[in-house]
Amino acid sequence: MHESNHPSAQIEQIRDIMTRSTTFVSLSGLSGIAAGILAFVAVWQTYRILGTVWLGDNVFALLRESSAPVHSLMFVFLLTLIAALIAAFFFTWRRVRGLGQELWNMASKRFAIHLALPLLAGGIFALALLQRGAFELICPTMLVFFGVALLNAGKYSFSETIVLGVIELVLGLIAAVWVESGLVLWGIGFGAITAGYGIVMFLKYER
Amino acid sequence: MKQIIDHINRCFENRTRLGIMAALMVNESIDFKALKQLLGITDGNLSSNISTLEQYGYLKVKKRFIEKTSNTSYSITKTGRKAFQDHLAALEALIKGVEPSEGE
Repeated sequence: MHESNHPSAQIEQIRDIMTRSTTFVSLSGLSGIAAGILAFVAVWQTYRILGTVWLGDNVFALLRESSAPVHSLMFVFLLTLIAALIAAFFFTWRRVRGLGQELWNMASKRFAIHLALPLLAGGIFALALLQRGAFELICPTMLVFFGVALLNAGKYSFSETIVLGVIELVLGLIAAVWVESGLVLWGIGFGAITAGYGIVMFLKYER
Repeated sequence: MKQIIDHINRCFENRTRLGIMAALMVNESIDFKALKQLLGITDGNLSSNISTLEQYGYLKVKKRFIEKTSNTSYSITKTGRKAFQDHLAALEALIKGVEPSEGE
């Protein structure tokens, strides 16, 4: 039977197993970059639909009057979400395969569940706001729940994920108070900050 | 030095057993498949070492049925946690004591 008696070798093995079984470290930075770019496209599409990125009272009045732009916006954001999820899976799967590991292990399952639950709750909550016509709070809601989800799942990944979560959360809270800036802050949070996080992670861990 | 070596747990000299215990220290419970994947070992190796740890009273076995297939998961016992912590402390003490003279 194979034995390792050397104390430092044993401690090294213990540390490695404890880390690998609890920490998801294979999330690719390219996922963040792709999500950021997609968020910019979504903001651009929103600008084409609304004619502005500044959410003044006239914009909300327009959305309450006619359902066509609301449906177009829902379509844009749903498509963005799906594309971002596919990109995240693809780049992470590619990275995991490159490292010769399995995508679906204890750590990645735990990370995914802790990320998905607050996101799902946020999605349903945003739909409820939409149904009620509370358009002002939809951008802040998405930012806040995204932040909470990252904060929650970040415990099982790199600490940078927690930092990202806090930034998104703060942006969401600012957007909740200053609703006119909602879409701009949404673009900064989901676009610039997420892409920036992706770049940092890529340069730090994947080169 | 003598006392430190007394605390080194012979049960954990086996790499697989050490690995199982390390994983159970930081996870509430782990099923057989996940443990096998984590440690990268064969079924036979894993199950024989699990039984050894169970005999020592270091781990608990829980069998459940999910959609007619059995799912066995393992968690650490109080005794196991204590034994592992003592072993870890002994390893650390040993490293500190051994450090100046490097060689075996």
